[in-house]
Amino acid sequence: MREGSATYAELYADYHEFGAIALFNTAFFKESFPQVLSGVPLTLGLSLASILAGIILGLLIAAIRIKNIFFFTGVSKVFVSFSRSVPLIVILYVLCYAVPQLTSGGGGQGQSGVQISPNLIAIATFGLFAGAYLSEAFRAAYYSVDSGQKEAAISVGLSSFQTFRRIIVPQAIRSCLPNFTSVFIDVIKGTSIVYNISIFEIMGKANLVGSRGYRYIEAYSIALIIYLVICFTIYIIFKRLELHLSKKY
Amino acid sequence: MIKIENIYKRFGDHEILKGPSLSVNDGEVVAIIGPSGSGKTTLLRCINFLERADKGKLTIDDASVDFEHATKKEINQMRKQTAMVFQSYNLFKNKTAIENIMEGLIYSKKLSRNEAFKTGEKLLQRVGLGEKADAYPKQLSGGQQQRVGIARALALNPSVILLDEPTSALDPELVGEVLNTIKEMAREGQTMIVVTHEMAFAREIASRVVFMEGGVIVEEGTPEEIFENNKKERTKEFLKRITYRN
Amino acid sequence: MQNSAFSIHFVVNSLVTLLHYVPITLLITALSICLGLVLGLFVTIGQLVPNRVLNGLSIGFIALMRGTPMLLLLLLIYYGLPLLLQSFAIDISGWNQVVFAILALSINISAYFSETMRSAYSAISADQYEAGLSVGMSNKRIISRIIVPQATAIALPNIGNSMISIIKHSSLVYAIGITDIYQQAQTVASSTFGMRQLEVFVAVALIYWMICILVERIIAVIEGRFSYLR
Repeated sequence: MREGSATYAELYADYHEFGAIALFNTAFFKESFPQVLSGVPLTLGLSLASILAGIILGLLIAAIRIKNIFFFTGVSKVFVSFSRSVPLIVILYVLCYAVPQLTSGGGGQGQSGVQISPNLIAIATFGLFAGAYLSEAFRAAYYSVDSGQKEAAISVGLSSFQTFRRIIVPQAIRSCLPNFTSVFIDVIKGTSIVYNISIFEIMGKANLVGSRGYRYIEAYSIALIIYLVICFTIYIIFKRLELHLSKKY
Repeated sequence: MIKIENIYKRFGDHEILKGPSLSVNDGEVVAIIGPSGSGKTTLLRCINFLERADKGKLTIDDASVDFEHATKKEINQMRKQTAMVFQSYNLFKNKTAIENIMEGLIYSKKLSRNEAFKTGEKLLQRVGLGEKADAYPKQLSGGQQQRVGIARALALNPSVILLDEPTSALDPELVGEVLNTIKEMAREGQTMIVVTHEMAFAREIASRVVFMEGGVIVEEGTPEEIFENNKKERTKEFLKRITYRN
Repeated sequence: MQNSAFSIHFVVNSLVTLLHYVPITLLITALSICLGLVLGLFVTIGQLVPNRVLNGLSIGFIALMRGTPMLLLLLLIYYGLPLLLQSFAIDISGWNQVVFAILALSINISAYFSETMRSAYSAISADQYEAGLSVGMSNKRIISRIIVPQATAIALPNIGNSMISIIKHSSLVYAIGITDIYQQAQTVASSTFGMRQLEVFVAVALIYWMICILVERIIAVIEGRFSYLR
């Protein structure tokens, strides 16, 4: 691991070597910005795919737990507990080795068995993570809808399905927006670890850039700015949506 | 015509309805009064199957069901003949006033969007909320919400409208407008069963008052009979407590 | 030598090896939680006092932490703090990496703790405060005997979640050269020549899971003590 191996003494020596103690090299900063920026599409792409997978998984689990389907409710609870307790990087590696090793028949040196693209592994990891957290958010949102709404729907003759689709879902969506936004932002921040499996998104690019001449601080500062902009934008978008909906209901 | 015969309902160990029977003719307004826990709200909610009674028979117009063996189809059929006005209004929070009225019309009565809209407009006018058609419940006062709730029930053109303490959740100054709307409905001959605490209101619009306590009907009769010339001790006791409070 | 694709035997083996590293993970986590709570309290106070500058700083700090990935923060503090302090002629080149880890983790989590504390505090109705005044209690006494207990009961679930968050984030300290459970797992995994990597990581996952379940149980017990407030 590149980062851990750079001890402070080496860093200090490097700066000292150039005569002036350059705390921050602005030229390097400006020049490397586009390079780190080039990792953004991958970050966003992975995040989007993961959150979509997470929504589907979350809905499934929430439905299972709400309807209380005999065996699967227990399985879901265990799954959610596991996914919320294990660090992302560990889940990443479990999924990374799972398919190749399980399909290798035990004979190989880890290269046999079915190989899965790193992107898929990443999406599976964050999809699982998002799915577990979103299932809780969806469940809470469903129960937060006042039971009187269902009774009124019965009274005017709406079927269960119509009630669910036209009355409960819209209200539940508004209810779960804050939680959803947090999970989404957590996924985006979570993707910062995927350079470990050779995916070069923002963090990966920052590491590459920083390793040239040990300019890690500048590189990471670039990454910081980019992440802040992305996260803040997402936050504002969803906040606006929340505000818009809460004017009505 | 609505008839409930010997209805029983138990919640766990507690038997809340102990076999009362009630008959309501077309155009009648029946007010059910009584202390909390008397079973009056449960009785009402059993009529549209929001609660499932254990035993007894329900007849609305020509159709009859047995509470114990009612099939889903029979329940839906019964529900279609009733409409409820709730204590906490229960307007669909994500729909405007007029959409609230249109929901049931479009999806249950299968009206076209246009017809539903026209009906909605008319009814909102009738309850005095014509200009509030596009308002969301959040933007309406309690009294206004309840009036929309009444319009929503009226729109379904039911054989009977069930009102569950329609003014209990309202601020005192908003109670009047709702009571007036209900009075209008009574004048126009709408069959209603109202569970209420408002004695003066019951006295004014009810053609019959039913006093319930402990899961049975203690006494029933015209407003004069119940409020002035009541025969049972328990009725006297209850009314004394109420009037003292007022 | 087993030739199966997955060996439970190896999972158990790894578990035993990795358990040696649980103390360092717990140490880092526990210290970060404590420091985080203290820092979080300061940030909350900063948000609540009627001082525009402090308010802005606190809100800005929280926003900064919520938009920064933990890994990035860790690296920035590890590389940046020494250089920053250097310009004030403070030399921290000798510091152990664990210190940086605890600093980074606690700074990050203090933002979340702060939000939890703030919303719990706001949730206590002003009525409680007024009632305290009307029976003649001093400001300090009202806060300590009335407000704080109630706020703690409200905040507990979220504090529990944040603690779990730190436990998970602590796995990232590999990036600044600390060997904790996760990093040791990496070492063990690569020593299996690509044959038993899955088992090692499954073992690590199980250890983290157990730690988190334990923490959840402890929080549940503490919540139980506060249940008289519901």
